[in-house]
Amino acid sequence: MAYLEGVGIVSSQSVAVGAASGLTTVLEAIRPGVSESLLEELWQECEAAGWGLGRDEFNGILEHIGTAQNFGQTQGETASRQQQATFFRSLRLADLVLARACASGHEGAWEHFLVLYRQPLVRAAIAIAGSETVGRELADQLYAELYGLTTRDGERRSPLDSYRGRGSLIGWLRTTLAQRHVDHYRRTRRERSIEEAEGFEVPAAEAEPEKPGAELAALGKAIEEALRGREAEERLLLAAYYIDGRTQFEIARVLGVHEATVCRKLRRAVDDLRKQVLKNLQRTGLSKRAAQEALGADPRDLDLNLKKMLQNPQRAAFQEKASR
Amino acid sequence: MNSTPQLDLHPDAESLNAFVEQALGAVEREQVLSHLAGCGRCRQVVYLAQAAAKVELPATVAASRPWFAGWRWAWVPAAALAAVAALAVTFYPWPGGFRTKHAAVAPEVAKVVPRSEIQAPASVLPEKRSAETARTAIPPATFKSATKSAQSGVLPPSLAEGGQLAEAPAGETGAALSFHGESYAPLTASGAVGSGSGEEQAIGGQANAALFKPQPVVAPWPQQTLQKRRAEALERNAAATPASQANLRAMDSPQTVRTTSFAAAMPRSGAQPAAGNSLAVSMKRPMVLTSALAGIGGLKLPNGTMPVSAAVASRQTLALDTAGALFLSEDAGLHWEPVTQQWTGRAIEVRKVKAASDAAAPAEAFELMNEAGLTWTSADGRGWKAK
Repeated sequence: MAYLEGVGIVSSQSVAVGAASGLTTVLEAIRPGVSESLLEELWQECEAAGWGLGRDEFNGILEHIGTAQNFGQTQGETASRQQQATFFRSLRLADLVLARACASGHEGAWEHFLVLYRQPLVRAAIAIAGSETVGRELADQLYAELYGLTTRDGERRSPLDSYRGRGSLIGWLRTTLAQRHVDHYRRTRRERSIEEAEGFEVPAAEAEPEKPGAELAALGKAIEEALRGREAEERLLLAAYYIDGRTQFEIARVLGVHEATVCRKLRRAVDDLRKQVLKNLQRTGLSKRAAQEALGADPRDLDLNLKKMLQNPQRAAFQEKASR
Repeated sequence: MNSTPQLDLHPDAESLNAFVEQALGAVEREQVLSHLAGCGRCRQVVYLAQAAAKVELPATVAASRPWFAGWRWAWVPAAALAAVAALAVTFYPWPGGFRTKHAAVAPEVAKVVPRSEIQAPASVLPEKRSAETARTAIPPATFKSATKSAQSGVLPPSLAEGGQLAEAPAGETGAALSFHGESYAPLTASGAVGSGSGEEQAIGGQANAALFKPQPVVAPWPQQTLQKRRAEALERNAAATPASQANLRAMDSPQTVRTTSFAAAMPRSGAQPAAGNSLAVSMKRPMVLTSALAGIGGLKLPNGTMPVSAAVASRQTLALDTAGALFLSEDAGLHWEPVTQQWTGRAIEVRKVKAASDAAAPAEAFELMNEAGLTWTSADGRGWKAK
């Protein structure tokens, strides 16, 4: 019990005397929720009262967010009180209460939101769309949604309700804009390609490509196995650099590391991948020289889906379906 | 490469943004990383969001700049102001310093002088104190040199070739040397020093006189006064030499505040009645004194030129300018005072020599040599005796 109290799982107030009540107290301690003192502290800190959020409502928001994300822990794990407190403290509570107040239609919150984020939202949309016209249209569309013009079952629904304070609100807005733009682009690109296809003659079916030889088949399999064994970060590096054509600086910003780190990791990933492919080829019975010759094959002769290979087969499911 | 079917489920904006902002835990981060590695759509979203953040960042930084950030270029006018202040301090005519002796207008001499009236120069001892007959001693060589240096088109070459300038009525001709200041002390051979403010003095030699017309101290001259004087001088001396005009232009500069006219040391004009052609002489050469030392041993004469010869003994410094005029300084060249000519011809060299074995006299003395090779000696730099 003393240990539990020491690590913060059990608060001193909830420690009960007696074995009978001890189990109850421990269960109470690990029950999801915010302790009164922490709730008061966080509530005061983010000035939720200014946006019309009472303690109970604020507590409900925190509990909902914490439970939905399991306090940042792996699904199935039980977060301790301390872990829960750490999770709550890591939230952007000021942004969170503002977003929730806006979603609930608080006028003062909307005015504050406009002052803070209206212009940044437009600028971000223009930067994302690469066009002022499209960007302003994108921003206006999102702003209308944020304001809750969309109704569902007679209730105003605002995307701000889905903001959980894990990152900054402006970052969330930018990412949301980027999602909308990418989805719109991919949707319209498909539509356009169909329209364009109607204007052109259907090309004659290409000749059946020659079946790859045994070496090429072995090479494809070796590459697939080698890629599958790479770590997620390495696969992301390879995909971003070699498939997306991003610069090392851009990748570094996404990963939050230095550009030199990306360069070093990329070089190491390629070297390791090459070695692993050679090993895999030799495992199929090829000699070292034959394996090296197989590596020199024209990539166009390979029928590989690198994008698919880079996917993690054990990928985790995300809660939200991005494409609306 | 084949096109990749996109994943149906993607991380929401919250997770992607938290991933970019490094706000996810290790487990969640690994999940997002794994998804990003195989999802081009989400990678594109992240890239675009990052690009938008990059655009937004400078605006945010600019908005949060401290109040003094806009003053980062303030050092330019501040440096300029400091430079102006330094110049003002440097060239300000301090009352106890170089204020009166040298704060004078340029000598103005303009008169038609017949060439036939030109006579040989006489001694330079003070003799008369009449403004009406004041004459200025003009060493022919000095004047010749000055005329040459000034590239005057007014002064006939014949005058510069060894003639004298005849006297002329003061105020109209002759050497009307006006000085602003408390006292001007052109040193004569006898050591006489003109003194007394408000008292008109004329120090001259046998046929040479200098009219000193002390006026109230006006230094530093206001800019308007300078311009006015400049305009008047230009008007009166339409044929002023280019060098003179250049010097007049220099009056407009702040340095003119400390401009000193060493009339006695400058080429002076006099007029001696003689038959023959007439000559109009107009001289106006305000000298600009700069504290910056240059030339021989870092010396720079009041007229801005470097000395052709200089000698230093004890605390005195003597220097000859190109016209042969002698200047004396007792503060290592910071301030100069002219030495009245007590020698004949044009002085070309001044040097330090050992004094005669006289216990009373200083151990060092000065020696001056003219073009003809004749020498004069002086113990204090002011009084000269033929050797």
